Amino acid sequence: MMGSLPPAAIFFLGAILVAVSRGKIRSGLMLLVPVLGALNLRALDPDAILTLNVLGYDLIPFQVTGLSMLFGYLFHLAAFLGNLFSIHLKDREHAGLQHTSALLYAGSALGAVYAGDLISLFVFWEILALSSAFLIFARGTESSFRAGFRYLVIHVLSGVLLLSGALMRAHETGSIAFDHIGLDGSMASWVILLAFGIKAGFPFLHNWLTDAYPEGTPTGTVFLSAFTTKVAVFALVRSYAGTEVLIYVGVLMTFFPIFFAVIENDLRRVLSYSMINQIGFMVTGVGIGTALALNGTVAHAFADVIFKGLLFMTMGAVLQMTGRINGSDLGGLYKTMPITAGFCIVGAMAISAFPLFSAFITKSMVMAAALEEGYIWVWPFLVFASAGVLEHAGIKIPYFAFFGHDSGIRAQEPPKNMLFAMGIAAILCIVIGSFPGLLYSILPFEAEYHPYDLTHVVTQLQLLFFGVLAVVFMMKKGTYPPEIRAINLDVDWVYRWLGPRLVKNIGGTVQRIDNSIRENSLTVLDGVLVLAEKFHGPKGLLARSLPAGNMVMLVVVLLAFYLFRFLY
Amino acid sequence: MNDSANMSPKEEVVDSSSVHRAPKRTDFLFRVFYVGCILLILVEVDMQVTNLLFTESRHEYHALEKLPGFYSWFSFGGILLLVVIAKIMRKYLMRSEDYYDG
Repeated sequence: MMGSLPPAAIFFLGAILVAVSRGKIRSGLMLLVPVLGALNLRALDPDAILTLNVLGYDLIPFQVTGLSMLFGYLFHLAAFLGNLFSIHLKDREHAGLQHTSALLYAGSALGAVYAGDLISLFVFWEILALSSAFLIFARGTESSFRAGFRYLVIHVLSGVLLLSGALMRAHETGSIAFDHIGLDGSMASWVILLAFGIKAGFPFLHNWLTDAYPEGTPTGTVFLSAFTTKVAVFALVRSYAGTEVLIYVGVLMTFFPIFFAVIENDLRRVLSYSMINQIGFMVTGVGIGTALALNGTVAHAFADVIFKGLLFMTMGAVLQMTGRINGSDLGGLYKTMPITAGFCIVGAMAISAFPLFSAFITKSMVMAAALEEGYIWVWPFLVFASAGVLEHAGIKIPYFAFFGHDSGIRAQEPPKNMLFAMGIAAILCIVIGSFPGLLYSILPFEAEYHPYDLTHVVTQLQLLFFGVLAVVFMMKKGTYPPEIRAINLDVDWVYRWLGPRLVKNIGGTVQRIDNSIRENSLTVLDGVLVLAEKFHGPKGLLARSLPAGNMVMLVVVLLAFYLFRFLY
Repeated sequence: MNDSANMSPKEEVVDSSSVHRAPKRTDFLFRVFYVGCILLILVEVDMQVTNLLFTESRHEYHALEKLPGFYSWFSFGGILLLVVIAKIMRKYLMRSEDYYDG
């Protein structure tokens, strides 16, 4: 029935072994698991399927499809780079916990992309949430604990929605297949879309990402950036391709985070906003839904995991070596961290879509598809958002960390394993961008696209050069906003500020009403007691004991009365 | 101990030399960059009008692309607008770092 093992199983087994091992054996295992996993992937039978019958449902916890394979390889690569980047961790940094949860996390992401039904997807969806939260908790600070908890609550909610949607769908259609769903007007289709949307960072549902990712450990956030949102993108491609509303959702996602990214001080939070912007391009592609657009979406997801991973690695290295990550505290690090600075610039050029760098050959597919399908109003927004990427990720990140104002910090280059991981990611950014055929050959849909024509190269270079010119112009004039030690309100204000106060106020009001009801009742009760005392107390009217003779007398009087009435 | 004692003076040397070199190197990079901007405009002019080096016209799929130098001014203006709006947002959204701790 099966050619080989489900990829998730290898990672889960690896996580157990990593949890009980130490030192070099653990390091070796961490690198070996993704490599063995990739070899297993190569040997996978393309028709492999695993079925289970649980409580009357036919579950398919493992099924191979073309789309799964692309994400499968991507997640193995991300796990390898993330593990290589973090093998130096010491026990005081909760190394065992971080390594184990990272492998569980990668395994559950793999489980999700090979899941054949919505219930199995739900199971991996929840392990994904739980295992990743430990990469935030492991930072060990009060704020990371709180952010991790908020993250967990939101993701568990997403899982509950997914399960509810799956059960509703099973009731409505009799099927729980993880396949095309689309918005068919049914409640189930909306609930499942909402579950996916939370994980994908849809507008107004996005804030867990910018809240929690900057709170992760220097190495943990590299994993976080790779898996959760990409699993959501995968799920959207599989179930909601061609759902037009996603075009507008996606465009909004490319659009609003770039404003926040300009004024954000925490450089890993800048990258988190940037991530929503990049996912916006992918979601737009899902909404357009043509073969070219969907190829653009998955290709861009592939490129994004690498360049965004690289950028998070460089910022993780900065955080690890300096203990700081705010733009206002950094600057001038290129003097002592030139190699990291160089890798950061490669990542910045890749995300900005410079020709010969990865996003140049992937993001443009979505934009070309938008034009092909006649979404002429969408296109200028995407161009504007592309310029915005250049501003925050292309210029701001490297400039404020490594150049700009000299902070006086003279941190050394990070450990070699971190440099190697960044180096491999940087090389991949250039290889993918320079040899597009390599990535295009594994894309799951049939569509032809040639990124390297003169028009595309020249227009993209114009977009980038004149975007940089605008920033240079503002910096020379002194009008470019400086980095300020401050935070900016976002949607999380609703549940971090307003919510608790509302609960407090409503709770206070309820308590006041409750108190007054209790007091009034007591007053009434007191009155009743006083009356009872009056009538039934020792001297009360109704408590007096009259002799039995009185009663006989009364009966005689009554009988006499009736006798007289009878006689006359 | 020895290592770290040796490291710091060496660092200082590297440091001061790079500080001295930095302005010249930066000026040079800026010049290269400005020349790049001008070249990109010239390439577009050649593609669209003169056809001396580039005989291939620019592909235009969107009405906006037909406007001369669209990508250049759209990007330049777009980023100015982006930053202006972001600065206005700061007025309304910026709070102290311990805002949520209180």
